[in-house]
Parts: sequence; structure tokens; C-alpha cells
Amino acid sequence: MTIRSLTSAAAVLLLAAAAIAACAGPQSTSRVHPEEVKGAPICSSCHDTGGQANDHDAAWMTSHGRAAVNDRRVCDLCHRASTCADCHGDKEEIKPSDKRGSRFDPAMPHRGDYLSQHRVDGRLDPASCFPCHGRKNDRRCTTCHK
Amino acid sequence: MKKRALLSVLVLVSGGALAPNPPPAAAVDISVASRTYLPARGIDGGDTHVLLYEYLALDADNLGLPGLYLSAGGWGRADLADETFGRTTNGDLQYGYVGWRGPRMNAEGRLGRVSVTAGVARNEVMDGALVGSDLPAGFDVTAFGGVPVETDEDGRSGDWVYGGRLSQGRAGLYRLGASYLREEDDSSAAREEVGGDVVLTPLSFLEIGGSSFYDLRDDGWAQHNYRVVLGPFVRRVLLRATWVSTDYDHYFKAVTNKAFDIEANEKLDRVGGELELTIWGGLSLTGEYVNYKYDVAEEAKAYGGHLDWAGGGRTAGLGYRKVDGEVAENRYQEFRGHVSTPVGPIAAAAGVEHLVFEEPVNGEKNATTGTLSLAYALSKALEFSATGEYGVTPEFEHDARLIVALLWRYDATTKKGGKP
Repeated sequence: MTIRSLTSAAAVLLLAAAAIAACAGPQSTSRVHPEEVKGAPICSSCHDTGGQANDHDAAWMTSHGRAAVNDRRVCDLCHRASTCADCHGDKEEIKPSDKRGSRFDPAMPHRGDYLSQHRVDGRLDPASCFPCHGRKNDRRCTTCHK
Repeated sequence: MKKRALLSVLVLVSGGALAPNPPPAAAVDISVASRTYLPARGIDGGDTHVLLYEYLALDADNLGLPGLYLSAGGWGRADLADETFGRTTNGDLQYGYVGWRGPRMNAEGRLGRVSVTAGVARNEVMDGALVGSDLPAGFDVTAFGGVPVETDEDGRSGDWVYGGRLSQGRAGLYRLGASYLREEDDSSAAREEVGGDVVLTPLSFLEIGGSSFYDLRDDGWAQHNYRVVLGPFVRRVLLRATWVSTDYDHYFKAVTNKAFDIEANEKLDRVGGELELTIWGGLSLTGEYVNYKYDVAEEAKAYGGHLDWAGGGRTAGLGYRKVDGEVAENRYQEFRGHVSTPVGPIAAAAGVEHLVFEEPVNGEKNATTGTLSLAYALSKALEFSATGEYGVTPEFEHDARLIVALLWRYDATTKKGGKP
């Protein structure tokens, strides 16, 4: 039995269990945060999350992927899918820092002359570029990387 | 053509909501967000571009049934003077799906163009379906399948992506996840991955989180990515440590961007730490250090820090970072400064960035860019902004950019129904 068939069988069983549970379990949480959240929220200041996993702190730009992998529904409470697509969209032409002109976070990609800088950063750690640029029709890249 | 038609539908549907007043009580909550960007750029020897971008996002809730909703978003662009990236027009339906959130157990389904992030699935955009639900005993399941949105040039026939994630946890204490993904391109496996992810918060001042994923197609760990956060201690000291280990042969799979056609037989261990110290009030100092250790290439490191202040609606910051590779071409210094403040009704922000490359790029060692951004909110629903940027860089002797943006939002929320 291959991993693929085991996975398929497990998925069918789990979804069947989920369908049964969905008829009798506790009430669903709200799909949208009930209160308007302004600025960069520190979720742990109101919610007992046990840690700062969802806090939009100084490191959020580089750490938010871990939170999304763990539970995207938490992101959906405040964010539309367009928030993710702004950077991770398949065919983006405007760089994030151009859309957010007033944001000067150290990690805001890619403020200033990133064209020169990316040669070094890309050589040092191409994996950090890959989530936004790896599987895209990225015309910016194909101008040089043919 | 299909995408263009879908975008047209999106525009028409959105346009129906552009009445000056919300429609009389229907049980549907509609929200439309429009962002119009007019970028202009002048560079030495460059073509003239007169660009217009329109981003639209539509959300509609309670579509006849409680919990039924629609979400769609995309963009269109026209260059009125020349070609940009080889085309006079371009556009993309980024997402567009009908969703349902069940009344119990967070049961959820989405059908249409969906972006999936769950375990090894990272922003996988597909035309298909996603279903998920909580389960008893702290379990949670997500499954998805569909045709990936084309990012290569060979058509979508025989392309599939499917997978899922199962997790178990206890709120505020831990969550462990296991996930699987398979992508087929022209009916052959482009990538097949299995992974695990974890968040542990055993103590109020300790958080451990991260993920590992394994390349089943060619048998090998692709990446381990973990972070530990310690603090805050005495409300002032926060320590973050990260470890990211990437095996290039197993990580760069199903690549459609030639920049990542990397056959280096390389492995990178990136270990880093950040110490954030709140000095007083809104003043904080952050120091960072990252070490890059390779199997093949020479070791590198990066270190620096930034001083930031925020208070009374104003911010300011200074930053320095040095990237210190073993070879000169991988060494540069980065200096940054920024300030933001309200000036009457206008929100103003300015920043400057200066780079010093150890080895000249195009014969130049320095790059300097200055940015000024002004934003004015005409109302809660309408904001106008203009951002100007001027640079003298190794690429261009003069690089002037201006991007004018109009952000507009329309909400028609009925008092009936509410959110599920």
C-alpha cells in the first residue's frame, strides 16, 4: 500500500468523521473578528493564545508564514484573501513596498534599490525568495532570468 | 480569455454595488474594496510608461443561507503608452470562490479559485475545492483538490494539485499537524511532499513553532524551519531564535521561474537570533545576527540593529545591517532611516535607504533611495495617497518613481442576519 493510497483512505475517513461531527459539535466561531481591529494587533493582549504566535510584532513580516500554516482561519478573521495575494499572487507586477508607500518596516519587501541588493540576498538564501517568486509568471524576473 | 471574462464579471458584479446609498434591506452583506494605482517611472534611457492598475475585492455574506458567502478579488492593468513586461494589458483573477461556514465545528467548504495554506501547502492557488472541519478531541482536518492556476506556459491539461492536513491540539498549549501535497504537471508528478508542523506554548514566556517537510518524489528532507520566542521578560526583553535548514535539491521543485533552476547540490543552515529591548515608552532597540552555513559555498553572516520609536501617532527609526559573505561580491552595508507624522489632515512618511556594496555593481558601489509618502483620508471609506521615490543606483543614474493611489471601500451591512 503506497503512501498515496493510505493518505486518500485517511482523508475520506476523516472527512466522513468531520461531516458527522459537524452536525453535533460545538458552535462554530465567528468567521470575521467581531470588533474592528486597527493597526498591528497584539492578539495575545486580549486572547489567551498561550504565546505570541499571532502577534503582529516587529518580526511579523518574516514569521507570519508559520502562523498561516498552523491555522489560516485565524488570519481570515481580519484579512481578505487579497492581503495574501498582494505579495504571494501568481502574477503580481507591483512590489509590496510600492503599494504600501508609508510603511518603512525593516522587513518590508523590497524598499529602495532592491534590484542591486537582490543579487547578494538571492545568492545567500534563494529559499527566502522562493515563496513569493518561485512558482509564478513573474515578468520582473523573466526580464533577466530567461 | 477566460480570466478576462471572469475579471469582467467581477467588475460588473462590483459595479452593481456602487450605488451612492446602500440598497434597502436585503439579507446580504456586501463589501467592495477598490484600489486604483497610477504608477509612473522615469529612468535614464527607459521607455515611457503610463500605467493604470485597478484592484477589486468583493465580499458578500449570507447569500440566501446563513454561512454562505462569496469572496473574489483580482486586478487589471493597462499601459497607455507602451508595453510593460511585454504586454499593453494584463490582469489576474487572484481568487474567487463561494464558501460556506457551517453552524457547528467550524465546518467549512470553498469552491472556485481558492488559495490554500495548510501545512506543506503554501499559497497554492487552484481552481477546485477546499473542505475542512474541527473534529472531536482537538483534531482538525483540511482537504483540498483542483487544477493549479497556471504558472508555467504549457497549459493546464493533466495538471492537478491535492492534499490535506490533519492537526491535533489544545488551545493555548500546543498544536501538531501532519500534511500531504501532490502536484501533477501534464499527468506526471511535479512534486509530492509530506510534512509536519508544530506550535508549542508550554509557558507564557516560551513559544516554539515551525515545520518540516519531506520531498517524497526524490526522497529527502526539503526544509526544516523553526523559531523559538522567549519573553517578554520584565515587559522589556524579547528574544527570538530561528533555524532554517534547506536542501536545494529537494526544496526547489516544480519551479516555473528560471531564477530558481538551481542545481547546486547545496544545503544551507541559516541560524539567527534577535534581541528586542524596550528601552522606555515607545522606544525600542533590536539587535540581530544571522549565520549562513553551506555544504558547498563559503560561510556568510549578517548582523545589525535598528532603533525604533512610536508614540502619539508618530514613528521614527534608524537601522544598520551588514551582510558579510566570505567573498567580496556577497558583502554590503545597509543604512536606513524613516519618520512618519500627521501634518494636519495628511499622514506623511519619509524614508531613506543607502547601500554600500563591497564589490562594485555595474561599476558603482553606492545606492541611495529616498521616499516621501503623503496620504489623505477624505472619509472612512475613501483615501488618497501619493508616494514619490528617487534613487541613484548602480542600475540607473536617475530613477524617479511616483505612484498615486486611490483606496475606496463600500460596505452595505444589513442589521439582519449578521455574521455566522
